[in-house]
Amino acid sequence: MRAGAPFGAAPARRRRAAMNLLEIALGIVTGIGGFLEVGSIATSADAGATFRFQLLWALAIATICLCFLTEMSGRLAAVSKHSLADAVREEFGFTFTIIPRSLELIVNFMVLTAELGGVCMALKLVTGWPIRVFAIPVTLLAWLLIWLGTLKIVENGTALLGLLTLCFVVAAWKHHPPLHDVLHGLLPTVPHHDSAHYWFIAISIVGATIAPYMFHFYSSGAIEDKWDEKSLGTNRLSAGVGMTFGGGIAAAVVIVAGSVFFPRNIQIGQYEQVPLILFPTLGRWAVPLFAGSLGVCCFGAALELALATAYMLAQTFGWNWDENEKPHREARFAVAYTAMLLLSGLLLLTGLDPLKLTMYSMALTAVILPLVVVPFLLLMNDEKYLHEHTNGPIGNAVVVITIVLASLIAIVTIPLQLAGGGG
Amino acid sequence: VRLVGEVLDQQIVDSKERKFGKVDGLVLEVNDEVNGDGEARVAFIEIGSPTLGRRIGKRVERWALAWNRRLGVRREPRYRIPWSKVLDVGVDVKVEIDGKDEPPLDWERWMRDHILSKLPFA
Repeated sequence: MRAGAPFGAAPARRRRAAMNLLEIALGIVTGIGGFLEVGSIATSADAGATFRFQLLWALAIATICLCFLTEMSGRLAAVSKHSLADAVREEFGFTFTIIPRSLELIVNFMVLTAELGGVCMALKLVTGWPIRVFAIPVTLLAWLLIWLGTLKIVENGTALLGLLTLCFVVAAWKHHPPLHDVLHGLLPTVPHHDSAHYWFIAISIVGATIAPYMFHFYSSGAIEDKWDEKSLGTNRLSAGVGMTFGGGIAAAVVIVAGSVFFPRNIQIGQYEQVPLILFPTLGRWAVPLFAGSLGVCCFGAALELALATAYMLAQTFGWNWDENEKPHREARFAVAYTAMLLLSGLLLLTGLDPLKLTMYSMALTAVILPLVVVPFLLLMNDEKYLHEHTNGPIGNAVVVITIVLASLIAIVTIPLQLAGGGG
Repeated sequence: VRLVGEVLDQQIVDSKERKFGKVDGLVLEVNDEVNGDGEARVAFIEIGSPTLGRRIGKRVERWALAWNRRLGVRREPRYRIPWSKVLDVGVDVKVEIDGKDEPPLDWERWMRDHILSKLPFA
């Protein structure tokens, strides 16, 4: 999923109530419009096509875990005035922090390539031209928008345009899926066939939903917007409601793919097949709506990823970082996102399979999650940083169990998936 | 005497609110003659990749020094700030130095002058 724009700015006391409502609304819109990205679309479609509604539980658990973690990122920044990368280095020292940050750097690079690939794929669906044609123009456009400092506008723009993804909800509704089967899918069950692939998709869903870069993005945004303890209520509401609605859209993708591809025994081997899941319900609108959703969501996610990586590096090494600042005042930060985008764009030119790259980067994300999330949780329970706003037992339990289990299953499953031919 | 753990790895901010690097290392001095108790005091804050490298291992430190020499951008790979220049330790470590032309920002300047200035719409 995507982090979404941390909503609103420093609150003005007079218009506080109205502002809060607006912030919450914007947070929820961002949660909905910004939830899907290349990973959640691919994993949800694959889950539905191969196992109908049986994997909905993985999405539900991951979404609940995400609600908690998003709320925590905002709370950490609002109370301690530290972003995640800042606080982890300060508390656990450089020799520890270099491990999760290097792993994230590698994963972010893969996911950024996958997101840019998603945008190119969307353009390919509409024009029929190959991905390589679009790789460099798309990368340059993403870079230019960050470079010109229009992030907030682009963020809110892609979130609003991201409401296009509601087409999946419309399609799911039109299929009238049997409610009993959908609810049954929310209960974890053991598969009857392809069990290695089943668990591989399950952990890929976790990796696609809980993306570590968003913690950096969200906590950095909260610091730029000067959040304080008064922001905590807004933070909780918009993280909880926004992400829940967002998870609902990913569930709609599972339901649509499960209603269209599963009965016909169609396996997803290529991106080009995916828009067909909308065909029976949306007809000639299927391809443009799918391409629009994919393109907008992946583009927004690519911008966030490039910036989140630059935030992470700047906060680990103590460089200036601030998206609102002019690039020449923070040269290393600007060079960091420029280099990330450039390398990802070049990797796309090699013509690697974007769908495979997406699935494997999501699974790999699940593997590294504990290294990112466990120190994060320790901070969230530390009164030195959170004062009286430390975590409760439920948040701790949900996050630890989800993350550790997902990582263990990932370590077992990825070799099996690789041995079995992948995809 | 400040606790080492409280300052090490914190963000350093200069007198112009510029992010100046992190506390990559601390230089302690044990002054028996003044205190007579062998108590360690923080004498300097150190900023620089060899200081960071040393915390991982001697080999990484040597490697960082060699690269610093080879690239020749940073004038002084280990930059020391005397503890007397530290104004405040809170969320950040505030120091009484204008970092603009100091070695910790050599790379920042180099990237601005050699990369950013060559990009369009700079």
